Amino acid sequence: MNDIAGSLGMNIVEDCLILSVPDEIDNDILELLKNNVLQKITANSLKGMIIDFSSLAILDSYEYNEFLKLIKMIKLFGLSVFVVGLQPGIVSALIDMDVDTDGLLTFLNLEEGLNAFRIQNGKEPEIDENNDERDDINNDGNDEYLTDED
Amino acid sequence: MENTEEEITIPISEQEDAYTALFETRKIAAQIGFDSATEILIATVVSELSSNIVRYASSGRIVIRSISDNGKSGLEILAVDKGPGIHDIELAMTDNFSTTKNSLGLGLSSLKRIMDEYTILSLPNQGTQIVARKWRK
Repeated sequence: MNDIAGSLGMNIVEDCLILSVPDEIDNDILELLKNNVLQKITANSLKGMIIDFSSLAILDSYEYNEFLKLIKMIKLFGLSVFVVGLQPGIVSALIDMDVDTDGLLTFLNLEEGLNAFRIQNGKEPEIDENNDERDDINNDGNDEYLTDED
Repeated sequence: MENTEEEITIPISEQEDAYTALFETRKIAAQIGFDSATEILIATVVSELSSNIVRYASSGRIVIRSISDNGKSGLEILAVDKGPGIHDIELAMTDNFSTTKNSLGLGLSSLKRIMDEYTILSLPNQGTQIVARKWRK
């Protein structure tokens, strides 16, 4: 099980801990995630955390509740948590399971989540000039983007 | 192509088996012709059921089969265990039941919402048998 620790994708970018949830999770991995995240948070002065679910195809209610617990813990440390990359199948399942999603800050993808983190921390969001989907937002329109986000 | 009915039994005793069940479910669901969103929803139900077996009954089995009725095709999930049973099925079927009590619940409410038909047979201290079907729309 040692290789699991190595495969946990955790990076710190601009005082934000980014956790990439692996494509398969079980109780051991969830426990390991929890411990590793809490360790990272107490050892570094972080301002926020992004949990990236984009690799995960299936999330059952037990696993979802474990993540909710993790998110609550991180919030108790005073960090904002940005949930990104939930796949359509997971979103439908969460709605069908009628689980509590109130209070979750969710964003379409990592980039949107990181921008939200930056805005919250008074930094200019980075606009990727090469991103075709962002053609409607030119570089001078950052202020407009900021108000839209609120 | 002739209509060959697929059926696979996956013994469940640890989390690894739940992965196998998920894999087989998605494979059969795709063969039946469910769209990928429905395939994920069905797999989520199987994840709930197999995880419940691992957590509460320690061992059991999941059977996935393709079914047909009057030209309709669908998928049937059978989950059997010899665990403690569900003492109050109605309560267990209500949403958010398991968030307040450490028991079955959310998984079963997803069964109700995602699948078209289901039956739950449960005897205290003898086990639980759940059959659920999803028809291709």
